[in-house]
Amino acid sequence: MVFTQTDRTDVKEQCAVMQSIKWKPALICCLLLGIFGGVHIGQNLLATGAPITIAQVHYSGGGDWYGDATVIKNWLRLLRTRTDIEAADDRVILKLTDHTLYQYPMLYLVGHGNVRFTESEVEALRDYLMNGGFLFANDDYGLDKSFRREMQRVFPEQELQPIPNTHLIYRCFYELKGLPKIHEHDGEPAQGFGLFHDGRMVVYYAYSADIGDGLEDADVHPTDTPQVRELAAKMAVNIAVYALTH
Amino acid sequence: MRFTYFWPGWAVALGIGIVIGITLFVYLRTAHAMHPRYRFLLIAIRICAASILLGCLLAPVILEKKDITPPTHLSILVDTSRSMELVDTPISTAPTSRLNQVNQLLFNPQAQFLQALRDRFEVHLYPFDTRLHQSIVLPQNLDAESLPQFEPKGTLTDIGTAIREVAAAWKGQQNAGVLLITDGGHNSGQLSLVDIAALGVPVYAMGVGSAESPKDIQIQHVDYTPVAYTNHENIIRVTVGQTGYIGKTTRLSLREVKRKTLVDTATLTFEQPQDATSASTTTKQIVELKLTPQVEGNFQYTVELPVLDDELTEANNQKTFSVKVVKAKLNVFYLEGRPRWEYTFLKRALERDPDIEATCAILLRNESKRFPPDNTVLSRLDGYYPQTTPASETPRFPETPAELSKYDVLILGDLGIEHLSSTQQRAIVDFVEIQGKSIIFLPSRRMLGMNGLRNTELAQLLPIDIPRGGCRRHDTESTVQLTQSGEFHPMLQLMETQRNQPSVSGEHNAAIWRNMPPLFRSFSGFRLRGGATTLMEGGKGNPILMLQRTGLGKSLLIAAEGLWNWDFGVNTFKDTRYDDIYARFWAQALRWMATDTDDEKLHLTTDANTYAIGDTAKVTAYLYSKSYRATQTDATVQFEVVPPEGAPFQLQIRGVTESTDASSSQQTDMGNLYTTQFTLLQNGIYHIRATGRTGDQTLGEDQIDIHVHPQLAELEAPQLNEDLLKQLAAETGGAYFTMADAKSVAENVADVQNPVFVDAERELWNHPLILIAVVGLLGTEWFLRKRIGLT
Repeated sequence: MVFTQTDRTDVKEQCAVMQSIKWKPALICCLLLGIFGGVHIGQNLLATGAPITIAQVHYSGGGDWYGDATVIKNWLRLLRTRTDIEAADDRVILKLTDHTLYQYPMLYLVGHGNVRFTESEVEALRDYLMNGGFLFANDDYGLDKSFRREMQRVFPEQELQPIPNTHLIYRCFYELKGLPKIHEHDGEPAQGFGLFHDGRMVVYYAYSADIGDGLEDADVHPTDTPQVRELAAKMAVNIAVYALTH
Repeated sequence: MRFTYFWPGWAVALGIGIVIGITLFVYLRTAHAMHPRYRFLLIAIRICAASILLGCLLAPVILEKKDITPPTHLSILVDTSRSMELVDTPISTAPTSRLNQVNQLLFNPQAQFLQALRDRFEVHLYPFDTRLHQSIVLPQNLDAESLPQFEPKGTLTDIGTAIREVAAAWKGQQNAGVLLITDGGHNSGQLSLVDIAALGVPVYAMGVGSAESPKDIQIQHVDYTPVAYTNHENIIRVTVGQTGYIGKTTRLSLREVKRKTLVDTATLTFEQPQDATSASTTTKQIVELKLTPQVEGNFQYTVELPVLDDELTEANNQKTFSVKVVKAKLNVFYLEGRPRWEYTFLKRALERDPDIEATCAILLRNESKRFPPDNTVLSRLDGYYPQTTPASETPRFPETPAELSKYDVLILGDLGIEHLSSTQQRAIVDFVEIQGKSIIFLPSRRMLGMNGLRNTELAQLLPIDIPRGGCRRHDTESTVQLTQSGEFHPMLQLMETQRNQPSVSGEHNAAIWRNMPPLFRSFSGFRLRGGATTLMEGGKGNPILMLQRTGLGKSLLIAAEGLWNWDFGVNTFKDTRYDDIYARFWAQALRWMATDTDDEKLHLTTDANTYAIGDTAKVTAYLYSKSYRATQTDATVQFEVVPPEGAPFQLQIRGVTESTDASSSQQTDMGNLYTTQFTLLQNGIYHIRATGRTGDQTLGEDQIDIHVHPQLAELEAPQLNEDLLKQLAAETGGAYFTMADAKSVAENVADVQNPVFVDAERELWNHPLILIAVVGLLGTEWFLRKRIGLT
């Protein structure tokens, strides 16, 4: 196995886990399982649907939709290790008009620049959210104006509503005091906003918090302290658990 | 002429030569003096006579043309469906139904209608409705006393089938065509004018009745929910149609049939539509009635309209339907083992359903070592994922059996051995087996794995045996299909049953299931228990949905993951038919699981709620043994059917296929499933009772009532359909007549007779002229010999 530079944090965590395992009995057990119960080894955990996967939205408008390359991978790993959610290994990237959209009930949208949805994307996103989908949008800095404009097109009848710090999304797994501030840009406080349909939160928008920065591999934003990164991890877990339980 | 007894030419020549030789020898040797003319004459006479006789030996025949032209057939088809009993003008002025007019025309000797046709054709008289009936044998002498009268018995009309059948009956013979006497009310089967024309049989249509729409009001459709809940208001939408009663006010009422109690009424006035041109315009409107049942059970309700003055018929003024009233709200507890989409979408569906009171909770795994030592982890919250604010109000598993018993159905998600204490497990087993409640298992890899429920007390509730190493997991997409048992199971009916075509509904239902988005994970390698019934299979035939009685309760296992795709994934279809399928499936499954959880070991179901006369009712009995396991192989189910009138009849199913004229029965491939079907011939309520037995021991009994209403399709468009009949005549080369034109029918039916001749042989040897000729020649010879003195 080859570990790249960006895999360093993973390696450390995996080494810690490996060191805690008594290798010889475990190896023997694995071999026995391979002989007598081998049917369970090699199962494809990447099949769509059963293990939970988060899809990253590929939007138009020039913004860097492709950013946060390691966020979903780390986010899913957090779900696997900190909760007992059966999560997949890595992200899926899709456009809102892709026919596979409805295989992924949870979307992640991120960027610094302009977001622009086509008319068909607006319609697809509205249908998706009204029919049970959930979108977590993370403002990396500079996304806010265009994102609000586009969400106004998706839900013209309502605006993004501020989410109070007492909301369940901040305490459905970890007890948090609100949306944590992960990355400083211009000193504004982190704010959570939501859009609702039939009483269900269908969009959660993290403004000026940059949860994604805290979820990236540690060397991507070396200035983020472990404590800040931990807050981002907890918020990410809470968002996923909330989406899965409501 | 030719000879049929063949002699070779030389033999014939030899014979003639011998005759001539002998004659010459005799007459030339005679010494008696005679004039040579006499001698020559005698020789000639003798030779002629001998030659004639010789010729007769050769069996001469002559060939002649014989006329064998067959008779030309004309088939008269008389519509004997119910619409033919209508009287087109008000009863007070002309008490003659359409069919009576036809009877008068055909069988009144003074009309001479039939005789005129018989003078030209070989006439065959057939009654028909949905099919062609046996022809009426007509006597030679058409006097009124000896002729039958047609009666309107048919519930539907199929003109196409009648014409096709009569054309087949006389195919290849001289056929002048078909005289079709009907009101044109075709309402059953296909009627393709192109296909009828292709038969090559001219159709002469005679229209009976008035082409004007008669005055009538009718209940065209009743929209209702077959399952209603106690103390819940249900809206019954009744579509009322009218013709000729614009401006009239009447009252629509809803009654419960058995007790004859009035449930609700509504006053309605038939208003003139804006685009109407006359008072006889046909309109329809929807009237809403309210039904709020108070008690559980099966009930029949009738919506009815009073008979108005001069109304065509009262037969379509009422409709009866059945409603199953069940407990108002179901209490469902859903306990999940971890967050997953299965939980998300099921919880939403349960919370959306106004008839379900759902409590949903997710357990945290008690292996706290898997969580970081962080005091912000909410594992202190009694091991549940918080889903409310404050978190302390998050639902949790009932603490006592009494609390648990408040629920009707318990859904267990992907739990493992570590999730539930043995006390909780024992309480769940008692909940199902002793209290008669139901449990649904919704597993993923944990529940059916090595550390799943296999070694827990809950394992006895499963319809399967989990193998030692756990079930085999398949993380591949899998479509589903219904088994024979699942095709008509109430929890899997996604289509409204069409009363006249339950089989069509069944096919559509099965097709919808086949088209459902795939499941993402399925399981195999387990062994189905004896009493379990598989209702649904995966694409490779692996059981997906399994049901069994366990103790006094029921248990359902869905051995797959990805049912949420039936809620979310169906949006890809952009087909509104699939919009509520997921919610409907769960509502029906939970409702079915929650009802009939008594200690009955035999359950009866039917394939529709109400039927029309002539429909076939399919009745299914689920039979369980005393221990709710598979029935013994010698078990029998006896169905007793009590029709509204007449003697009850019985059908018994032993496990081999049986059939009778009126019904057929069979035990299906599933050991505990027995079905029978029979034709419903009477109007009213059929009481059906089923009894399951093994030897002298009664396993269980159940009964069900089905309501049969008259077939009203004949009254939906009762006016004479002249357009159809004229088209039919034009397309087939026939002609259209009214009843007033009856006298001209005989002369206007084209005679297609073509003379047919065959070559016929006539023997000559026995012809009298031969005898006369021979006797004459020999007599002349004798006379001449006498005259000239020859002896």
